[in-house]
Amino acid sequence: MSNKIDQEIYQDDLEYIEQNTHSRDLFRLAQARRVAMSQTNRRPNISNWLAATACCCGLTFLVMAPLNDQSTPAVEPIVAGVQLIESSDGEAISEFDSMGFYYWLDIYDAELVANND
Amino acid sequence: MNTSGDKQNECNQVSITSEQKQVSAELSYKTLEEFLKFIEKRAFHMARLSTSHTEDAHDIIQDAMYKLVEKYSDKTPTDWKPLFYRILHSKITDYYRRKSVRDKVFPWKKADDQESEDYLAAQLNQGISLSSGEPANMLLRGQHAQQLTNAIQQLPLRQQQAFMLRCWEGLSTKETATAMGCTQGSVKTHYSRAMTRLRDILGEYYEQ
Repeated sequence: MSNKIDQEIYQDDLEYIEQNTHSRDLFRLAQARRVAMSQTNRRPNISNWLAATACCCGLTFLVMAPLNDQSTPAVEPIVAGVQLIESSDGEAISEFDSMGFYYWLDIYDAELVANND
Repeated sequence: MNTSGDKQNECNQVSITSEQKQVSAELSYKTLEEFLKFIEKRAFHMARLSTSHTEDAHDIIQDAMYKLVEKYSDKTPTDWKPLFYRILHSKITDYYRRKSVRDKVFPWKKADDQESEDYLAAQLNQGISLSSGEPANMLLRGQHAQQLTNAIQQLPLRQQQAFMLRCWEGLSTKETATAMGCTQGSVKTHYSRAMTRLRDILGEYYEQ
């Protein structure tokens, strides 16, 4: 028997196997197919995603813009005050934070008063 | 001389019919759902013959269908078949890997794996055969199919794949190579060895 003839005989038998699929297996195959195809309905559209992203950006901008306007005046006086102190004494702002400086200032003032007296 | 000429004619007729089947198969589906419907029974039996287990075959088919729709639904209908069989055979290979690990970890579960139920025999005993014809012929065909099933299950996995894709699904050598993820030369080798082995096993049985 040649390969081709063998192949034809085998094909007949394989088709017989295929035709004699149990009904319960056919049912389960149909179920599997339906589950697989249900993905195509759930697939999100790109245009929907773009619209949603644009909406989110717009909302974020609307919320953040008034907050920025309110926060600016609150910061400015502090900065202005610091600049004023800095400009009047001509010393670095970090020196005002040090407790040692105030201690030295007290001694300096006391000595100045003593000298004047 | 005449006999060789007749054989040549028979071979030509066989190749023509297989080509016609291929063309008609290509025309028989246009959407992905039609394709899955067209291919599901054959793919299920391939998985069943490879795993020797109906439940596992169902799981494998469901995974393969799901993945094809998820990843390749945008491909052209002519690409679906090789892609589907590539996914299917990857899943079957994964199944064997998992099974070998499971057999090492839980060796006592090995014995429960083999399906005791004989798929075709159960169908024949109930007399639910869908094919028309005389009972004697039906019985003979059923017995042949059962013998072929047993013989296919004796083949190594790669030979099984090459045989089923080439002979049953009618894929070309190139398409089979794509589906199996190997070269065309390997496909030819596996297929030739499978045919030789099947002829050895079934030769006498089919000649009776």
